[in-house]
Amino acid sequence: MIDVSAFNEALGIMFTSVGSWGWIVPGLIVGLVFSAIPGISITMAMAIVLPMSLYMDFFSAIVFLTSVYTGAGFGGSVPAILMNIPGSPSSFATTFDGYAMSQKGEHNEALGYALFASTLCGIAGYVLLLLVIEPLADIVLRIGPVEMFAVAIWGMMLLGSLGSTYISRGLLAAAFGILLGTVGMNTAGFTRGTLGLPVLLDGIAPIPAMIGLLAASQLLSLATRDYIIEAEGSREVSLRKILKGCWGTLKYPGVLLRGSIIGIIIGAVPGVGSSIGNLIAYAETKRTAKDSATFGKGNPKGVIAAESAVASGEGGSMATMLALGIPGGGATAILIAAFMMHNIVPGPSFIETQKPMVYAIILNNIVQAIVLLAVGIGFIYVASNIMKVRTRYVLPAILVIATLGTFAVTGEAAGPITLFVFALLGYALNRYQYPVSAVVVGILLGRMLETEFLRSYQLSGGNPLYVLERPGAMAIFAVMFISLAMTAWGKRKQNRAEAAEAEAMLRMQDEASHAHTPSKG
Amino acid sequence: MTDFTRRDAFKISAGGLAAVSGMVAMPSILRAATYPSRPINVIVPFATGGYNDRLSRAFMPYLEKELGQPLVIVNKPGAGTQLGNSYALNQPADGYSILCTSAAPYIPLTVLLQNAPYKVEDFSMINLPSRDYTLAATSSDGPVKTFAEVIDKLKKDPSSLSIGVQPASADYANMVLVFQAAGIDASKLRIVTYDGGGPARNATAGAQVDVGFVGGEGFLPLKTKIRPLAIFAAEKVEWYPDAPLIGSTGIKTDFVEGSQRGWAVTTKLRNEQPEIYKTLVAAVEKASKNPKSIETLKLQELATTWYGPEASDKAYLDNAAKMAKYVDLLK
Amino acid sequence: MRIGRHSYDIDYGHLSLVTFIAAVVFWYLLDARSVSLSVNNLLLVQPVAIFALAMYLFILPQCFHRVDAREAAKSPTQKDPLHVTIPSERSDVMRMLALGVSLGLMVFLLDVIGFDIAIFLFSAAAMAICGERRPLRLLLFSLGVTLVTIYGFRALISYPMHTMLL
Repeated sequence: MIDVSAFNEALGIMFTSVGSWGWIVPGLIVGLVFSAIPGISITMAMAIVLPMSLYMDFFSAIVFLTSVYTGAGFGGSVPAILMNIPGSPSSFATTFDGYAMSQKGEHNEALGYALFASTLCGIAGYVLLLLVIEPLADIVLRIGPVEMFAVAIWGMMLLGSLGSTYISRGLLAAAFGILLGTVGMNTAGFTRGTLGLPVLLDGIAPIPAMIGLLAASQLLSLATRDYIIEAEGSREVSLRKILKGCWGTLKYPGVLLRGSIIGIIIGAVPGVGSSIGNLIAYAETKRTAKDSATFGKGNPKGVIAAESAVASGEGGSMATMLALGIPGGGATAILIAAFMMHNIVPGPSFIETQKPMVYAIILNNIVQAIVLLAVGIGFIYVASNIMKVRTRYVLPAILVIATLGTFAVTGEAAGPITLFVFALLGYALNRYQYPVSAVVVGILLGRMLETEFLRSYQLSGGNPLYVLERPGAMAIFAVMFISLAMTAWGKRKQNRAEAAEAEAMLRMQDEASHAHTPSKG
Repeated sequence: MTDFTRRDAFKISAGGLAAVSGMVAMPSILRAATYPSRPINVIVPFATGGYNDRLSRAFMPYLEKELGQPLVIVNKPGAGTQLGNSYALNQPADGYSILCTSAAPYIPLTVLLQNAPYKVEDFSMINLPSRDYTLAATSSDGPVKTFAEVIDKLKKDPSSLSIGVQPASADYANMVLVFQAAGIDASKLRIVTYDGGGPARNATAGAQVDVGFVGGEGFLPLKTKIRPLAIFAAEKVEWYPDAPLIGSTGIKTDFVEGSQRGWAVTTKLRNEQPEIYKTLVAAVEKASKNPKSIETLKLQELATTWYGPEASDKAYLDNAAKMAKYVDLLK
Repeated sequence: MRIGRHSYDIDYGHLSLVTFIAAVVFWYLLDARSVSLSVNNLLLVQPVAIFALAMYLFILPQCFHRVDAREAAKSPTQKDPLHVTIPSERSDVMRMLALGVSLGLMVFLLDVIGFDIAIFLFSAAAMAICGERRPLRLLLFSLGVTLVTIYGFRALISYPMHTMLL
């Protein structure tokens, strides 16, 4: 638990180095802007500013870099909500309801919800971190492949909530996505499906593929419109509406809490980062919600759930980094490098000998989250003005930026080419009513599924009863099944009542879809 | 309309291409005399934050001082350094691209296992200060206390302990060699594969696997969470003196040295631009011997030892030869 | 096409998409099997690939519509207000395709004609596709996009960008 004297010393560090506080706002702005550029992930944003931080003193450098990290955690949701382009995999789930809301003209509110969910849960994540940093670190190391496989399966269950007119097409799309996600060298060193191209040895780059798939379905179709939102009246940018969204977040404490817990735990596990936490938080929130039918059509709870898991994941990831010196994801790997460049090696000995410094870093992150509230409102106010610009100006610029963003990942044409190939695939899938998001989920989780499944198999020597030796994994599976069963039970009555209506709806949809699919021959 | 402009642009760009290639083909002597006259790219075939990235960034100011030009770090991760290596070979041999990489065993492994389109000899070492060794370790609160115990248990029942290792690595070769020497049936072992040293270390420290075979240097921050069982080195390792040497465990086995990291250039540069090559070697030597750089890098747990091009090249080629000898164990 | 007493209409687009996916999956399975038959290689890939191929067989019939059924389905939508917009949808589809093709050209020409030229041309083409016709705006805005993105990204990333003029 919290060490009071170290905490007091940490407050001392905070106030004696007030000069370094000046780096918070620039750091947040850099993080927000970079991560709002499609294709530039949090990791890249931090890699870009790392060299700058070498010339600062230690605490200033850490404040600056963690501010970039905090800002970047939210920035990705801006293009996700306004244009349906997730800046990085961690804001993928934000697109589901965020973009739907903005299409209804509720982009102000959606961004407000996202900002508040992000900051509140960011703060919650760090407060929890302050209390349990050491025990959490120990638990994290114990999480093995079986537990991770359970988590990956949980992530895949999101598919069930995506909904599709044709279940068979959804399943094919998901299986196809998983297979695409396993291309390249697997964890046991076997290389498949690379066509002899060295760039594919590490697999298909997920960010360009994801942007490509989603861009085709949304960005290209913007060419047919004059503005991103068609209704003229809804294009306004209103501070009042943003604040209304911010305030509205507080009405869903349950969603925030669930998202935070999922985010912290998954964020703390090394090598997973926040890319899966948002999917699980979204799926869980949707499944347990009474109004689950409106998810994906602009339900604010969807935005809140996704964003809360992303923001709290930062705290979890930071815990693993500080307490063990292990990067939870790419961004914390860069933070570790920054520590080392200032001659400080994070890890168990660091946390024992320099506890006040650890607390000071955590406290500073809480301050950053609070500052983000103000800076974020300003940022989304400016960014929302994109709604007022005609697509003939927005679209070319965004497509160019996305292309260069995917180029920036490795500095090779492979990124933009991946973007284009997947744009074609996305277009075809969309046209014949295959859920594109199922392919994206498959690509994002395919590798993790295979890796953890394979390690579980290797570890158990092929004996399925091994799972009985892993109480953690059993607990995850149990929670998953109980939650599934409870929802099924609770919704039975409701479903019965809605069955007739739903059937009628389905019939209509089916007919409509037949009419929409232009048939040749 | 767009078609027309595109065709036009093609004409313009064709002219531009000719002009640029003319500049590249500028007489090499002219460039050698003024070298270096512009910033030099340091190609790091790993992501930001890894050992080589940190080494290059920490060493950068001292090397910049010697060369008199700024250095630009270019991270080109992917395909077990193959992408970065190919990229380096594609740059003009003019001394404006140098490598900071884990030359061995990554370059030999990409050649042997991935059919990389270059040869081990295409790279020439300037200095490889960092030498890593495979460490067999277990979680600090694990039941196994010594390496002899591991061997005993596995001899009785090869599936009694799980083993974490990165496939197609020096660590994997060492693991197979030592078990062969001890007469353990490798086909019945419970081997858990990790696609990198980091995950394998986490699994070892967290007792997800009973024994991990993985590069020892990366364990240093986690030192308190593990118990070293055997290190695959011939003599006492400076940065991990309490790790028992594999020779002291009673098993006679050959072994492969782990990662050798540091500075390299393409052999083409060394052969075609001997003057530039000499300038670079002298600069790296001076920077490596600079007391300030030694002090700074030591604090960051980075190596600065000066072995020189001959010794580094020999170590690199020896490692490559050993990898080639044991390549069948890795497949 | 006639099978038995019924006449069928084939949705060739859908048929080729789903067959393409199945072919890719099948090839991937063969490629993986040719590398190694070890469980460590095929544990997830093989079952998922087989599942995908099974789904293909399940979806295949959906590409064939019975003609009478289609006509039955079609008649009510004639009254659908959406029906009127179909011609404009066709031009919309053309726009999207044109934009997609321009994107592809840009992507593949980046290294050939330089990032600056490719971006400038794409930007102008995309504006034209989205309905901008005034030459001055086409020129100036595309120029602006090119300058900002090239210099912006050059400041951000350390990779060399092949450019012609900038």
